[in-house]
Amino acid sequence: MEEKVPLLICDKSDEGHIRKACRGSWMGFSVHHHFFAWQRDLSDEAIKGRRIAEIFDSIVNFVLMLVGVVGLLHMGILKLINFYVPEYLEYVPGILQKIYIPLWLLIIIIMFVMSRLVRTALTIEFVKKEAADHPYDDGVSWESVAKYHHGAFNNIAYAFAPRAMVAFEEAALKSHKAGVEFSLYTLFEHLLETPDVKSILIRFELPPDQVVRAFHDKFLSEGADHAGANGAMWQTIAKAYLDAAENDDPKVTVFHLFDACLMVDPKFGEFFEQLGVQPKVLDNGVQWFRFMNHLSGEMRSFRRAAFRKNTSDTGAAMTGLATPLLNSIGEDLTKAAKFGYLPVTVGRTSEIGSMLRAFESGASSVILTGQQGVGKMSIVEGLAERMVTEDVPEILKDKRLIRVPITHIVSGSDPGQYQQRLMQVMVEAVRSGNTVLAFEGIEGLFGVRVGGGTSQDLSDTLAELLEKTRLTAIATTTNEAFRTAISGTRFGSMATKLEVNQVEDNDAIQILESRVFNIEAHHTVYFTYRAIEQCVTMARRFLQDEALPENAIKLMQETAVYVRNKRGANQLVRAEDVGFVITEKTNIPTEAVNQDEKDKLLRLEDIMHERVVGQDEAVKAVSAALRRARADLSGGKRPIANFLFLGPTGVGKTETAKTLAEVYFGGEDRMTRFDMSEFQDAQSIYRLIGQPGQQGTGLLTEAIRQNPFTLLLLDEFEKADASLLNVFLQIFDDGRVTDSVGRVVDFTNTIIICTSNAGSNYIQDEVKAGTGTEIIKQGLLDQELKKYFRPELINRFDGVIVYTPLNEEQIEDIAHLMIGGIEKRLYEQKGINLDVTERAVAQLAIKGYSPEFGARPMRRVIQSDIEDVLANILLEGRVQRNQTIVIDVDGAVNIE
Amino acid sequence: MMALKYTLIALIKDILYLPVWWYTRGTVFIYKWLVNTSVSTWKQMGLAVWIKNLFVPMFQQYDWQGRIISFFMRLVQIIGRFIGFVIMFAIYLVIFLAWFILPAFAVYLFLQTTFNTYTPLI
Repeated sequence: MEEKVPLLICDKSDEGHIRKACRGSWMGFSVHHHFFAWQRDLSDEAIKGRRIAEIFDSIVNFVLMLVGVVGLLHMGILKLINFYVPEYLEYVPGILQKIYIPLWLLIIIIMFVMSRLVRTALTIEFVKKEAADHPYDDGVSWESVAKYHHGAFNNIAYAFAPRAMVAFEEAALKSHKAGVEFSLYTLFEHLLETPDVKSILIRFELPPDQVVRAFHDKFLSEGADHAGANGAMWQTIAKAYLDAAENDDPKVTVFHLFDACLMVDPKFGEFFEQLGVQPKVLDNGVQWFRFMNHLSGEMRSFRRAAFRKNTSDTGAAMTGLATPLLNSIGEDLTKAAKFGYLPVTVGRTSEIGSMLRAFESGASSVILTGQQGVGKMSIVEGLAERMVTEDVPEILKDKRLIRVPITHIVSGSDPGQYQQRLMQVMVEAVRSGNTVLAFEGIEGLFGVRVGGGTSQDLSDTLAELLEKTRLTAIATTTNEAFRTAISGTRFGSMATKLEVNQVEDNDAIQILESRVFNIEAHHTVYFTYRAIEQCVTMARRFLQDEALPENAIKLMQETAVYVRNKRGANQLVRAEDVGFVITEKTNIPTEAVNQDEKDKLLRLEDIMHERVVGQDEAVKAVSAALRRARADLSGGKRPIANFLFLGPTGVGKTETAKTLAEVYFGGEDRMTRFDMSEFQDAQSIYRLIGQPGQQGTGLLTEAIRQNPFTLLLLDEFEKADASLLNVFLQIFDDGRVTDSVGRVVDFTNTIIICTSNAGSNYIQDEVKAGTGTEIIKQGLLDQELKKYFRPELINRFDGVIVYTPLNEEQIEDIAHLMIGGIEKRLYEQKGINLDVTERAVAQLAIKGYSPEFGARPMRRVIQSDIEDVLANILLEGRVQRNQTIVIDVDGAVNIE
Repeated sequence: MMALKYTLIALIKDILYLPVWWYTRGTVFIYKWLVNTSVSTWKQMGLAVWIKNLFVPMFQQYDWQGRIISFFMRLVQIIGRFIGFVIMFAIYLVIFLAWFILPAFAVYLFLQTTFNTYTPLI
């Protein structure tokens, strides 16, 4: 659609030859020997004339119809009186007896009105599909088409929906009135004022009036260059028509016109970009409305087709038998679909197609497996819709689809009862002869033993009945349940398995778009396009217990309720609102969700230095690597970043990780920590990703599944077994790992930090010798690290960060930070001030300094010299609120 | 001027065009109407389904008694439905034929009232 349509534009200025050749067309194009032309006069006179004619015609039709009907009635009544009660004729006024319309004239009048009405109805033309299916014929001229087609062109004007036509003609009138050429700009300006486009603008939080004004100032002010804009306008009309044809839309709507304008002139896209709406996003919004338009067209034809579907128990030819038990415990999906109770199934054609193929190729039962919320039931509902229109293979024609929730079968206390109920249901379905069963959550039948011990499993009863009766059945279950319970059983091997995968983001957005109007009507709020998009992105990132689209739909509903309760009716739901709801649901801080990540990244060094003392190069390297990793166009297929922190103990590696967790994820507690020294043998991999076949036993996978937005800290990474490192190799690369029961765990929202003491001695020695950090790092990579890690693992890290030992000055800074913490706590909890003098701090720093253990001894020193002293004072009750405890050198204490 | 062209002139053209339209495009229209309505009535009656299932017992009564009763019941149903269809079709056909006769009938009435002393009333 991107290339230009080769257009023939009729040159109206040359009154003679060419105009005749155009045969009343204004513009035309040829596709595969069909000629499409705009043959509707756009002069002021013509447009106004047509408007008057429309009114005139309806008045004429109305009057003639009235005359016809009244005339017939008049004649009929007089005849009746004359025939049955001639003596009453004298009561009829003489004038009514004398003046009448003769029958022949009445007949002609009725014929005339009929012909006019029928002709109007017949002129409604639709877009022609072939216009989109073939290449354009290039190099045609008006002379050649006139000769070849004899003027029998396809008039595309007929394919314009009334609203689109009115908008187009209004734009023409407006430009005539303003005395300018009818151009793409005047058309677009007018489109912006149509209710259809306004409703799109509102969804982008753009006030329509302001947009129109801004557009006018930019494109239609004095002296604007409009060269070729008339041609561009016709190009737009052709594009809109072809676009409608391509998408099988019966009519060209305002949305097609708007879309075509954006396509033809990139300046319009730029205009919206300046208003803060990216062209891609705008396009998605326009597609939304077009899609809804298309959908409502499909719904209309569905309802027409549904009218004939017989949904009685016995079917159209009474072959079936009534199914009272099934009706009471199941739900007739075909009936629900016929009467429009099911939500429209959007997309899913490939899944429904493969299900139908399975039935056609002789399978009697199909099992749909997929993650919770992935839309298994909506595929079944889509099948029900197809069955209503009978757009299904022979085996499913004139049948009913009944949904049977397994919970309705296995309710009660006695497994014997379950079996009885299941058999009754099956027998009834088989006897009815026209029933297709859809078992929802089939896994509920597995592992239910009818008697004790080794007696038959309920699922075997089902499998046996299905095998024996060849009853058509569909079952749904989750991936895990299939793997753990169903696969390998009798039912598992007889049913054709179809995997249902999570929908892509774009498809999920479409599904949400198809549902949003219901939710809006129910809660009287309106979603902006970004809010819908945000629902999908956030649901995928943070609500991983369920799959798209279900989790996004739920999120959308909750957000609607949230906005309705908070701000009242008729409010816009914005993307931020979705963030707030996510925070309430998951406790992930709002700013972490909503705040611009860019801003956070740019200030990262400053924020980190508030807590991490020294290590300038490490902080800089981490920040830079994080920025690099985020700017990388990996498309979210890897973790946010992975780092390897190297250095002796107590130099700030963990502190950096904590700070990152706070900055990036909104809290120190959003950190998941593993000590890899606990995973030193090959068997420990099962502790990490779970025991085979046992759900929820993987420490790492469960932690990330429940908390996907987190910082993962792997301490003493070098001590882990080599086989574990292979697992991490994959996580670093793909951002995902499959746990022992086959669930994919997503790591793309984690920052992974591995710390290691490997090469600490080397670092300390080199620092003592005064070597630069870069050289130390190179030395580590070239020699020291190779003893512990394979080169490909090291290469996977976004950054290998070397922490150098702290010097005395830095230790003093750390002492300040630690004491500051105590001061703060003491004041907040007891209302008591603490003042540790500078000299005392210096003394503590000397005491707590160890080149070997970094800042670690510092904590102990502060514990014994400060905290112990404070504890004694507090217990002895020597200090009151608002007093100040002053600690000086050698532990001298004063209370002021 | 344009308004005149679109209204009065168009109206006169319409009147003159009426007989031509009636027996050309109009006929095509009424023929299509006849076919579509008949097909739709045929589907509505479900005759195809009933004929297809002639030997299939009703209500899943697969024993021989059920089969015999069903066969005759279906036969009755099919005959009944067929009669229903024929009646409906006959009505459609009358309308279809009326389409052809109507103009001629109007002309006949016109001639009769103009040249005979026959008065349509009383």
